[in-house]
Amino acid sequence: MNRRLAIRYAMLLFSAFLVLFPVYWILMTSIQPPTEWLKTPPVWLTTKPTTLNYGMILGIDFGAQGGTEAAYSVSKTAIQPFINSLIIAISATVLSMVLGTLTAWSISRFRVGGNQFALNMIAPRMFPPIAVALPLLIMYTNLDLLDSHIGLIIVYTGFTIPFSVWMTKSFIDDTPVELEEAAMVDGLTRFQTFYKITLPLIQPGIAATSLFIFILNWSDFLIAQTLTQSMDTAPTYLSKLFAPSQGQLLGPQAAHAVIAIVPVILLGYLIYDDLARGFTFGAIHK
Amino acid sequence: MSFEDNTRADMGDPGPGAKLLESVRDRVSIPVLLVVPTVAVLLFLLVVPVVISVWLSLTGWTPISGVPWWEAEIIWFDNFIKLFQDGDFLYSVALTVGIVVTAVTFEFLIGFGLALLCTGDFPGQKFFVLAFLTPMMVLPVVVGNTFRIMFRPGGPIDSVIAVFVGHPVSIQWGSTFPAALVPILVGEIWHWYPLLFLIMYSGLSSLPETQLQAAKTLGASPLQVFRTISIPNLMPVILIGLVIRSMGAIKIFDIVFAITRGGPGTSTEVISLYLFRQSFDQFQIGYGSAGAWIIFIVSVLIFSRALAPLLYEEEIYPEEAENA
Repeated sequence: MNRRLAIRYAMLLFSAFLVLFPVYWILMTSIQPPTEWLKTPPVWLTTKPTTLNYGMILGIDFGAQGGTEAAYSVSKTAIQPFINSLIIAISATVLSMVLGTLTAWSISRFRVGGNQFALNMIAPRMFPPIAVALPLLIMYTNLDLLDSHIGLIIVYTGFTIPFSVWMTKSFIDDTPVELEEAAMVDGLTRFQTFYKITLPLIQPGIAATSLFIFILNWSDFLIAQTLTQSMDTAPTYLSKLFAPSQGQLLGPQAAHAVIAIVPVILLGYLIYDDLARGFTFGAIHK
Repeated sequence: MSFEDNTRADMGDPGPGAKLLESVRDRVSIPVLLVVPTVAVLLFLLVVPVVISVWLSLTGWTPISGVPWWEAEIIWFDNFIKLFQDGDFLYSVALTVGIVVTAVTFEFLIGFGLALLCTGDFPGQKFFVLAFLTPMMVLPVVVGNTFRIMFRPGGPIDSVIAVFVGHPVSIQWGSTFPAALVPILVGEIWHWYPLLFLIMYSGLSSLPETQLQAAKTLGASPLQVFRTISIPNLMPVILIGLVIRSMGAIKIFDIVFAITRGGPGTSTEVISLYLFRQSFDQFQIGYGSAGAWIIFIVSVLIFSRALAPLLYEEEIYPEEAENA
């Protein structure tokens, strides 16, 4: 029995090593001095860790010594793209959740529009994003919404509504409708039963859904790439940073990647129990 | 103001505003009202673009023609006919289907395997579950670029290969054709196997305990239990996972864009990238829209058929739901 457990741990550890290696590697590259970025064989564990790359990408001087004084710089720092991304992702998440929760309650409790309506809401997810991005670009050119926060907020809200509706709906489906009925007998109106009874009950679900939607908004690249020219979000900035014209700035690229992913990974850990529910439109939950 | 006036107001003497509100409330129910904003946003983002997109797909419009898009000349189905004769488009479709099938198969095998490893009670379980989930939370752009860094000539991957072949290697992963598919596939699989892992893990942990116990008591081997109880019970979960993952994989863009940008040549141009290029590099907006429509119609036909029964299982099979 003990041997079987040992084999299992060996397999688990080996798999975890393989899975986490890319994350380790991006972390490692982000603290390597310029001389080590392109070494063959690679420097598996740097002996000269530096904050130079982070300083470079954020435009802040941490007073780091860069090994050699290889002159490299990025033309624009990542501060503004990160702020843009935060503003857009948070606003779109709030909007998507407010609209999505109300809709989810209507669908779950009243079957508004029947099954077809709810199902149709998933259809946008089957559109290749490029198919929507193209006409949106034309619309936005005419409406003068290119390069604006509000423009991206509207798109992200719409793109994540199917998820917020279906995920929240699955949480509402899990709460007994009898509670709302009892509250109505006690004199609450239909809508009061929603925000005084059901809403507090599904608070953890709302939190999980919000984080899930935030991660989706934070990750988008294609839509932002299409609908912005001068304004950058974190992913489009990163993509420009990796463009061939920027040379092989592996260190700052890795530093930017670390800043972009670490908070999201931690948020994801918080809601890992509900991630499956989110991605499967609530079809799978414990 | 007299005392009487006050009480009358308190008892809800309806003013003109209240009357209007009431008449609205009588005619439209609140649940319908709550759906309206959502529908409005979806209409703005879906119906308007769809109308524009359908129109464009029937025209030969390009932004460099100098004519506004609504005055473009209608060429009816020429775009669609041309697409079916366009080797590059057909190639991108075949390539994307190949990537979807390969990636989703591996994602399923890896996800299922790791889910089996993680099932049951043992110390450190949560650590491993979180570790295996990590890639899913990484931004797609970062996934692409991370794998580009790892697959650089003489980089970490090459060094590992060098250990096996016994001499240093330097492979141009990004710029030679069949080789370029490796970082793309590995990146895509690494990024998304966690979803199938998660789905299979939830499925495995909600298997009916009584059936498992009964089978064991009756002397079934672990393999028999797995084949006759686990797999049939997991079937709906497996299907949902595969459908959702295929829906996602067919839209693959970010990772390819980051690793090869479709190159070398157009050899790794997946559908999304092909349409992106047609539209933004070649300015063939009408042509690109037509291509997007073909893909959309095919996807909806395949996926909505597969997904609807799964999401509404109890309504579709009412008698079975009652028995269960």
